[in-house]
Amino acid sequence: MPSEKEVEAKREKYALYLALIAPVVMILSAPLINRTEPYIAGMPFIFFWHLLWLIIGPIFLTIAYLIRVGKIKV
Amino acid sequence: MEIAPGTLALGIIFGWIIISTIVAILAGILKKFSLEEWFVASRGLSFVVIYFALAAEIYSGFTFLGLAGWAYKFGAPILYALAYFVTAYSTGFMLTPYYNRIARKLGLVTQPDYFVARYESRWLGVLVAIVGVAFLIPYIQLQIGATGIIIELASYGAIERTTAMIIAFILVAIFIFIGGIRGIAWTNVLQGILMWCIAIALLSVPFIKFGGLEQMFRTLETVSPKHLTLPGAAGIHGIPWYMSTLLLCTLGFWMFPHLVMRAYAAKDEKTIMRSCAWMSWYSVLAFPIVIIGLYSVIMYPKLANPDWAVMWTVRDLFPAWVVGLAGAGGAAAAISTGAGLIQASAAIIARNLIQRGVWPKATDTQTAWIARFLTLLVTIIALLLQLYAPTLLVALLLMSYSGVVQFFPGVLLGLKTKWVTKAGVASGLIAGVITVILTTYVWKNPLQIHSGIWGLLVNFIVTILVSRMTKPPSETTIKAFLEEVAVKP
Repeated sequence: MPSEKEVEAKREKYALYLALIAPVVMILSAPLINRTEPYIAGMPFIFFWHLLWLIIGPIFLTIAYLIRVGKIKV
Repeated sequence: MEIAPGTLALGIIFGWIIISTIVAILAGILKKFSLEEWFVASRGLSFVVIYFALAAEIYSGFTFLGLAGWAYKFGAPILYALAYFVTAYSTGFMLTPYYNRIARKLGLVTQPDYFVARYESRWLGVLVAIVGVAFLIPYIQLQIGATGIIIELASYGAIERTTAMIIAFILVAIFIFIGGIRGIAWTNVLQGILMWCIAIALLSVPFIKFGGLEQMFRTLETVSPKHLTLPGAAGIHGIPWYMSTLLLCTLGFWMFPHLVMRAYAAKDEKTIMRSCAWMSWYSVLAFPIVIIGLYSVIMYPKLANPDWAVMWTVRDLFPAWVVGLAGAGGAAAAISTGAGLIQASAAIIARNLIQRGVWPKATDTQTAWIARFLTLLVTIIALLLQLYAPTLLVALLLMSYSGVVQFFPGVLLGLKTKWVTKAGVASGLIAGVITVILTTYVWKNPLQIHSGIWGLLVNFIVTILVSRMTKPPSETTIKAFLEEVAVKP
């Protein structure tokens, strides 16, 4: 059985990694996503990419929160 | 009898503003007046209220008009704003629990208070207060201007912009005076509902007019292909610009003095973290507004003011009552943000320039009363500036993100290191702001990298060098802070 402290440290680590995904990916991917083709869901690629992150960014952050407060076990 | 469309739309907008004012006054009047209550709502805001308070201040008149205006003018580079509406909440998720806990432990009520406590120097607090307020005032002015545009267009020209701005902001001043932060939060519960409806209505526009998003974008490709990728229609917002600006906003967002105060007002750390996680879902609302900006490029290529794009589209396609609701949503967004900014500015001036600056003998109750009256003064000053010198503060506004991000080294190093000193932070801050001014006006964004990032670079170097040469604060202070950081939320 891991101690309370170890569990807590692990939670914090995973939550931090999850929260960092969106900023890191969004900033570093800029040179790769600056294109109009292919169109996805009726939008040029760069627009679709941003809409996509407007949805998955919050998903990551919500999971990070749930892990952080122990509602999702890690 | 036929009601003129302008009258109907205006009736809805002002009806909305008056209801908000009443709600705000009720929210505030039921609580006993005190420094902690008026500044940070006695650190007792629950998740729902803090969520809407943050939304009120983050989604402003700029979100409503400016995003579309920018998309209209420059095209794809505006996507940086959608990106930071996501990334900034990650920063918030990591930083705000510390803000909240330290503030509760040490009785901090404003952002400069953090610097006063951490670096044992009320003069550093004065410096931080001056820099912070200098960058908040132009934001207030911007919100007043946005309210004016909305009411003028929604009334189909029946109400003059000046009159509209004056009436709206007198109401605002009254409700902050009485309601404080609690009032601002409650009014936005109303705003939030409207914003969702409007976003959905706007999203339908390309489908009605073009039969789908793809048809709209293909048309735009023939009309103005430069709008579809970086560096955009003006050709100056390339990839380095995008990356540095996104980094700047991600780091700078939670350095805004009014947002720091909201983090203090949450009832505990979990509440503020939860708000950041859920706030990020709100951002998807901004997407249809960007689409409307691009739509307007095709439909109304000769708008006199790019910021008119949203209201123009709504007026063109929807009946007057929708114009009224959209106007009410936009005006509510501008007014609630303006209210939050006014409250924070007044609080910072009263606390850090007066109580902890020129008049140290002031009691907490006196300080709170001074802050209350300062809201009226700040509102009047911002209103006068907007009426008589609307371009004067545009200069400051251009630098506002770059400016507030200069607090970042002092905040971060204060949480993470033992050796950082007040002399280091003060000289870093000054050097950073000077660099920002130079890279904004003299050498404009060198290498297409945003001025704020240059400022931050110089700031970090100066802070570290000077800190190494000067004496850090007392052991007890450092220990108190680092211990707080070590305790997990």
